[in-house]
Amino acid sequence: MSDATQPAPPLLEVEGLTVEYRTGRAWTRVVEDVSFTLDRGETLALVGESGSGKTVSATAVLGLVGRKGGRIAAGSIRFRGRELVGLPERELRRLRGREVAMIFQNPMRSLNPAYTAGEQVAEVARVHLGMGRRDAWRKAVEMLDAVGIPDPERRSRDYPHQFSGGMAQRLAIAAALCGSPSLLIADEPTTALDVTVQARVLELLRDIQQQTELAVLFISHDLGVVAEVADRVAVMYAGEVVEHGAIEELFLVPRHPYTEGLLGSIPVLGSGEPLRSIQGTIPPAGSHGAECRFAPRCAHAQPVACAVGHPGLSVVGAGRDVRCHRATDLHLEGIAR
Amino acid sequence: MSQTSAPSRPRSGRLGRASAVARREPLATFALLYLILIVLGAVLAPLLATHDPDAQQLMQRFQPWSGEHWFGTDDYGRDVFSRLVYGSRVTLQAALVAVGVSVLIGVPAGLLAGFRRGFLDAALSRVFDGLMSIPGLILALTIVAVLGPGLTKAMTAVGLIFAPQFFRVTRAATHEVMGETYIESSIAIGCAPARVVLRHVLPNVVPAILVQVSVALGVAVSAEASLSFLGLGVEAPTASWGSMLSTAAQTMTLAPNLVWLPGLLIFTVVLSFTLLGEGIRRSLAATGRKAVDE
Repeated sequence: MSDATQPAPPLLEVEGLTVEYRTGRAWTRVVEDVSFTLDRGETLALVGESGSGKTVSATAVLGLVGRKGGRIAAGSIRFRGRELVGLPERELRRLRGREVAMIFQNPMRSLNPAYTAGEQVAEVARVHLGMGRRDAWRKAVEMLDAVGIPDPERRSRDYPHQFSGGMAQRLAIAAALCGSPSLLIADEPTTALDVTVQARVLELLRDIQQQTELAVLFISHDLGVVAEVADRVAVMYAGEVVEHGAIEELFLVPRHPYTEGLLGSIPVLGSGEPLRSIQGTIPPAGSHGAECRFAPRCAHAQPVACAVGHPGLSVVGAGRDVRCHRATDLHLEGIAR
Repeated sequence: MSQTSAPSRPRSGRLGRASAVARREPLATFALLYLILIVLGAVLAPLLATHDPDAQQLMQRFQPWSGEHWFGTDDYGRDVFSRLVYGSRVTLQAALVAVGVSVLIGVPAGLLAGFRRGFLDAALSRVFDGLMSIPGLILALTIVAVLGPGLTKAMTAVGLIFAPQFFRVTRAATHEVMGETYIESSIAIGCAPARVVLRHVLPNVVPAILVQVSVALGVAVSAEASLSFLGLGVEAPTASWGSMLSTAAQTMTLAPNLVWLPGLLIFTVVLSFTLLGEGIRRSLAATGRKAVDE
């Protein structure tokens, strides 16, 4: 319990999170020593390639890793100062949808085809707000209206397959926000959408954030999208955070070669420069030795310096951390303004 | 596509959707209509029957088709049409008993196994595998020997034999649905396991079960015929399609139409259930997962 003189703890505090999955008889580390914090009204983006552990880190917050044969091997997740790791399932259930909600990559598949739009949203109201059928329905129609679905009265009676992708994601957002959570985990929420639709969904999320001080943990592999929404970015590689910082700093002056590589692969219209891609692929989980995990793909790796040991996450500025042996002597290229 | 686009399908309500399905699946639709007719006949038997189905008129045995006896009379002078109409009640009820028993056993077990996985899944699967290895007829004979004769008892045994199919279908479908994002989403909004299974998994498993129900009803109708033919079904005067076939077989050379009338009914009803099941399966595959993509 916090003392009155102490500052209030951040909304979400993840520290040293390590997640393992069962592979046969052994446990494989998928996420290792991941730490981040998130305050109300703030957006933190977890960025990385597929398999970098960003989704696993985020679902750990909801206590969902156990469902697919995973476990939290170490670390702590505190929400409003309350420890979530080791919390009984019953307590976690009370949290899900009410305090922490989640939306998924493919809105079409995250909606139950057997229920109408109104029923999907009303369910949250019934589970968490203890509302009766009629009140929950009214609340659902209100929510559809709030996320900008036109003609909510009529649309609430439609089934998910009758919605376009963008409208379906709005519907999923309506369901997620129905319990008025203070944290939304958005797992690649716009990846499956058209670019124009993407922009409007991002705009909706921003509007909601301004109105309600909602904190968003935004998972994406697309730095272009991240630039639109995030306040801070944590770049993940092979299960670790390799760089963390405020969005402008990180984009303008990346300190980790992997971040530089990611930024280099954003197409810039009219620049005439070829895209820089990162050679190679992410190493499979569990195959890491005691050296820098990015070294084999790194353009700046030095045979001796980078093979000596696993680099720790070091502070290189206010709210700025980098996991690189050469963090101090490298000058990397960011995005030119 | 723009965000505000209307759904691509014409929105003419349930009736419109039904007629679209009917056009795509004419055979299954025809089978469904035929089955509805048969069920209506069974329900309205007292109104439809022209005679008491069990009343014997020994002076009028083996009458040909006539205005008085539409399908003639049998070896005891009973009206065949009325017996077929009343017999449909017994036969359909028997089929419902068998399928009901197997649904009640197989579906909850399949849901549980598909949802919980792990040890429980393995244990239940072995139990139902074991059940599958019991020869159905022998089990039916044993149950009748122990509990005494009666169609309901025999059909309960048949239901027990069908149960593994329902277990397997339900388990596989549950397993598949559990991998869907909307199930993860339902857990992420804080649904308790029971709610996840009953409200989110079950409605999406029902279509697969429905296909199986339709096929099993057909098999159960022919199972009733076999059991009654062997004398394990209804007792003497009561008519069922199977028992009519059985008695008619003894006088086949004298009155062949007594054999082929119930035989034709059994054949067409079984075929209709199968066609219907197949039609349901196909139209679910066609529309079930179809999403309006951007």
